[in-house]
Amino acid sequence: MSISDKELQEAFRRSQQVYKQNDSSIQKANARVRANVLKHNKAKANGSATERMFASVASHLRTYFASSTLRFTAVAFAIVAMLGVYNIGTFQSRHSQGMQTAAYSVDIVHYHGFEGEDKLLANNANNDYQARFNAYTRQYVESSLVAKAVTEQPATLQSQNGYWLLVNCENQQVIVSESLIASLDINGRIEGDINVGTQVALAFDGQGRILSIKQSTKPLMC
Amino acid sequence: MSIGVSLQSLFQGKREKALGVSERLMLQYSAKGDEASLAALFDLHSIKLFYFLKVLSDSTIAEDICQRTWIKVIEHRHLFKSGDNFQAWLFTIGRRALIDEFRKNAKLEYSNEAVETFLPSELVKYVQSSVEDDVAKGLEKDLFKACLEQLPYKQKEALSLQLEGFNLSQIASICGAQKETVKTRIRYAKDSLKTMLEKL
Repeated sequence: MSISDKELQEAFRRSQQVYKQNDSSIQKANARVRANVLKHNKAKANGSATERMFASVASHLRTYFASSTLRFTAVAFAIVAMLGVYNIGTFQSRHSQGMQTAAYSVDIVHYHGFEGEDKLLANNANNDYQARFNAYTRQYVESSLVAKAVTEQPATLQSQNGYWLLVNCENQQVIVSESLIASLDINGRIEGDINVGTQVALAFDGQGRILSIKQSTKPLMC
Repeated sequence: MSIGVSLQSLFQGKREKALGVSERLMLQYSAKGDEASLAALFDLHSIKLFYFLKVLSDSTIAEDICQRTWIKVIEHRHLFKSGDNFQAWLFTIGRRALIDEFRKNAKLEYSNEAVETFLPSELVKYVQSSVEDDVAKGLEKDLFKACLEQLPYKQKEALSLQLEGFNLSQIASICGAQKETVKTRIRYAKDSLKTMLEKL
């Protein structure tokens, strides 16, 4: 019997899953890359702050060294600098306008996964995926057991593609990572038959961590 | 409310509705440069990118290119625009970085267009030996990946992208090829892959 395109698609997804879960070298490599990428992002953010500081110092120095003998040069320089500042200002206002629109339309995504998951994976020499998964699950459960639910939020499950996308009445989106869903499920913190379209109640602790996801008994009133 | 305002809110609503989770996260990252959004994007897409690069090269190159790709995402985050598909943007960067690496090191003939370089029986032998190597290393048998890796470069590239969920236009844009060419590559790739899998 010939293999169908659908079967090829399923085989591809299975292969990706096998690759992710059974090859410890891939998990370690991924954790290494993650750490380096986040480090680079931090360095870049710090670098921008330093650049701004140098620019401010340079501007003060220019004012300090300005003297009457250099008035003509200073005037010429000032004109050039003002034109430059005007151009930068125009560019920044245009740029920040775009940024503000972007921030306005997207500042509603919250991601929930295991904190330090990558470090645990990178440091653990054990090759057994389940053992490593249990290690960070235990860490999460230990920290969440002592926590009490302080808020509960109604939401609807909208997507299940490797992660759960939950959307509340304010159209805020909560993404729950695949590992965290598995862990919550193992520990009985996901109650009821939850599928796409199901209305759920999300319980959060004081630090904003998800403690449980259960099928909501009350309809979502928006 | 004026007609202008209601039309504006309608279009705004449509635009926001069309944005996927990754696109929202990327726009959030583009505006703020925050670590949380970048980490979330990484967690959602990294393994898929890693798998794509590994099928086209090897583990060492895939790790290196994966890191370079994410660093480019950081460096060029301002170039991502609302309406772009994040995964297509990420894979385009990754694919270009991989080709640059091949050009620099001449490690692989990436322009391999050959359709029938080897007979299916020969390919099956390669697959069996590759799977045996994996099992000897303690890894789970993955016949599908072993077969996919045996395909000519451009065929496995196009097929991997299609199986990842990209449509023909997106694949053509990522690979810088005509839609018809991509279609042909995918057809040949599927035929060879099915033949190999059926013989195993």
